[in-house]
Amino acid sequence: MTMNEHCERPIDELVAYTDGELQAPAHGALEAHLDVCARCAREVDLLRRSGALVAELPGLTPSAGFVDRVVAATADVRRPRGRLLRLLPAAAAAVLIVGLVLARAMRDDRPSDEVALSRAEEREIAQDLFLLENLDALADEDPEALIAIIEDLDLIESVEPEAFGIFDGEEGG
Amino acid sequence: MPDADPDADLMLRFQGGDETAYAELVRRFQGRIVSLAYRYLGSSADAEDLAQEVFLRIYRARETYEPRARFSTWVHRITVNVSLNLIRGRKVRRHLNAAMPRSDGGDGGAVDFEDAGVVAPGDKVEKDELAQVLREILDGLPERQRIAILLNKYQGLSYEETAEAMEMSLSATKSLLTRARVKIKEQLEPYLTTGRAPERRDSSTRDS
Repeated sequence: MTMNEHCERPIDELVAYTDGELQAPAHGALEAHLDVCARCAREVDLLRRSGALVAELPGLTPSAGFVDRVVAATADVRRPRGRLLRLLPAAAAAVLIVGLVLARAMRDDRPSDEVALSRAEEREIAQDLFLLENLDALADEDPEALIAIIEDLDLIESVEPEAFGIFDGEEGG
Repeated sequence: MPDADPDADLMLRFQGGDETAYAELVRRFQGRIVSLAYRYLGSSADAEDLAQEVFLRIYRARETYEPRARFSTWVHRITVNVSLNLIRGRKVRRHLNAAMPRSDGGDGGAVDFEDAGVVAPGDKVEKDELAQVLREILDGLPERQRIAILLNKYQGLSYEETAEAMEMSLSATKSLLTRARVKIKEQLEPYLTTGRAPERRDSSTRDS
């Protein structure tokens, strides 16, 4: 078998081949090529074996009672929560500050059997405001980066487990 | 659609008011979604919280759900969205923490955003050396590449299904998958060609 040092088979074709995703004419042509090109055959072998290792990664078993906890948690999601944080205009810091405060107020607009703002939440507001007051420190970033920062502030809000409710089911359907 | 989709049937039963159908869906998907969340995040710490959020979104979609795609594809799409939000939120939080150290010290109420790649104390899942190496390689991939490769190779979705789950074009998905596969292959190559795990920084194994 001769080693083809200058083989220029596109790598995505080799990957698709190992995944069984290469369609009819290309598939046959590549198989014929693999018979004569040791370099590509070696690549295919490495791709196949490394891909198989990903497939064999161990999973994680949900803890006992996971289903029950999820079902119990559905009692909390029937009440829609504001998507104000998502509607924040992406440009002006001043508007943002108002928006964040309003968003906090919205989150606080919940039945009286739930707690109002905790100390931790208050601290978070302070952190948010501190960041926003220092937004001009970020001004030399490009607009896209700024928008990303703002969106990510929203995300920081949303990833608190107890605030998961502010996610809205926009992927419905 | 000619293919039967019993999961979609369950969702439609849930839509019709059968809450037991919802619980059955959670039961059917819990293992898959918790495992994927674990792999997307690179740690087991928040995997169940993430999976719970996915299932709550399914619950909230009760009124609006339409069986347009396979049910599993739709669930994957939700999982990808929730995961990307969480991963990016963590990244920003790390940047913010680096930029603005807290003066008030520890805060029991704050969410703990552990560094991706750092194994949580309770994380005893990974015993196998190679699995650990592979996990580090996956953690080093950009998140979209990681998610794509896990959907395709770990979850066994076709390119087409992976593209649907990621709401990307087929060609963009192929490109993501190819880049991920090449990186994984390159980093695993020493193991694959010698049969040993890739060399890690351990002075005791050095011969001098």
